[in-house]
Amino acid sequence: MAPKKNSAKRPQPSTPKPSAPARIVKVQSSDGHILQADVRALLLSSTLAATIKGYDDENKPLEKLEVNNVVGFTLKLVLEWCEKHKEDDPAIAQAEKDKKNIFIPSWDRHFLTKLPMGNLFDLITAAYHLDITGLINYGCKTVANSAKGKSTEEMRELFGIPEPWEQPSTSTATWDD
Amino acid sequence: MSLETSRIDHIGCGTVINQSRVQLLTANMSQPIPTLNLPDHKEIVDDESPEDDLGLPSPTTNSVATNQRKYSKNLEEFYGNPIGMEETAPVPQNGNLLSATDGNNMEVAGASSENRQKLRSSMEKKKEAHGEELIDFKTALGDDEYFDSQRHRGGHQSRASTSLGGSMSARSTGSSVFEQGQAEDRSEEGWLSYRPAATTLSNFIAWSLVTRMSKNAQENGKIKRIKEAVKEEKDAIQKFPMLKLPDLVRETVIRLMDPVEIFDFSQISKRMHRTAKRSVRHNTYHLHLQAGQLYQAALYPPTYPEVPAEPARFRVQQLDDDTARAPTNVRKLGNFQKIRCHFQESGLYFFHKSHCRYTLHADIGGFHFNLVNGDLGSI
Repeated sequence: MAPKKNSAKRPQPSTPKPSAPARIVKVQSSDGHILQADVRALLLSSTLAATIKGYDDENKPLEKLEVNNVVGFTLKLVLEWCEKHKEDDPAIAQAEKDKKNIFIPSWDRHFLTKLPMGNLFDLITAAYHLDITGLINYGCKTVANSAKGKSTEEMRELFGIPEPWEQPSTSTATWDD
Repeated sequence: MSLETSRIDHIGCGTVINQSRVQLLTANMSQPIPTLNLPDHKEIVDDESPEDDLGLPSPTTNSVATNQRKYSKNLEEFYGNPIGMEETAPVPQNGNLLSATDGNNMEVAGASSENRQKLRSSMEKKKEAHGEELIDFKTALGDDEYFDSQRHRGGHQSRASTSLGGSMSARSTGSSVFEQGQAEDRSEEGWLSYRPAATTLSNFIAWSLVTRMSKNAQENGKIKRIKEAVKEEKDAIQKFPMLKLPDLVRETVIRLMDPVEIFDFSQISKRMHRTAKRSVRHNTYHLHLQAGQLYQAALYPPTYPEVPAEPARFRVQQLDDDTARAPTNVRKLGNFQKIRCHFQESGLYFFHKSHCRYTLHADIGGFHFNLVNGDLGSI
């Protein structure tokens, strides 16, 4: 008897819906780079979705979206991830948000693992600013996985946490106050 | 056993050695030792040469005397002090230390403590006689075996020199002069030559080599390459600045860690311990805040504004009759000593600069508590 696969924990991508023709929108990063993306991919971001919705409500032509707090390279990564997951159901990410364990699909694992830590930090920060729940979850899980098998000192080195006797920097002075 | 030659004359500040042929035999008379063919007459400009000169040419070194000295020294070290060649007390005569012999014109291999004591006493007498005048070392000791013995005993030449009093100042001065890269001053009477200690010489050579290497390395860019390699190695250790993450994201990261990792992570520092503890509790537990044993507050924080959650609320409970008094001196809430929050019933909670407000409660009532001045009063 074949063992049952525990597929309940894994998020199953929703069945592709008969979608409307792709609607391409230009997105401009903070450093002036202009990228093109599908609107369905941009709807994964709550921030951009609200902006797009505002344009649609006012019946204004949406030519270019400006993302002022994300640089071009990071925005390209974000859009790449959104293009991959534009068919996903946003309810899956919302359901995973409160879980203690998140399963990362293979594509996302490969996508996030190959990134250097600096780029991963920028990607997670951009996802936070754009409010992309799925990307935040996967990114945080990737960071949590990077701490596996490491000692305390290695974690301190990895996460850049100062020694107890060191003076905390200004950016972290009040983070646990 | 026989040792031919070795007629050593000490004349003034120089030494003339007439050595025609030296033949050494071992202590047990079994094996002849190869003969040293020495030049007949060689005027020694400086008969004191660094023994451990490491092959460096020295214009003031007499190779004959050096070889002879090394040879006899190695002989003694290998076979010991042979019978019949025991040391005898050197007798200083007219400033010369005659070689102790047993009839075979054997030079004194080493000085015993008794001999050294006698030497020291004679040197002190000479010092008293001549005052501050430097004493000719070569004239006084005649050979370097004394210093060899001192070195074999684990001492340093400068230490041996120090034990000999005033004359040692000349040696010490010579050492310092040599270390500064200057030539010795031969003008002073009684000063024969400088015989640097092995350690001093080796240190000098090491210093010169390091200096030369460092210059070459700078010229070749080796130091720069090494620095770049070290920098790349440091950069290879990728860092994730977790402390710069937004609060919610950081809490998510901590929450998604395995329990063991959370424990290790909390052991990094006290601040991290509190933060990890708070972050883990964040999702499933409420926070218990104990305020000066007077109030117990429970906080039900929502993770995101979109998620419906119970409103953040402090339930102020009366523990005793002292609750009625105003805790003006209470400025901390349990472990959260600097809690600065502004709680609202809408479900949002955010940090405020220095203000904490207790929300209204139907049964007990609400309090406004300012952590800055300790003002507590009902709303």
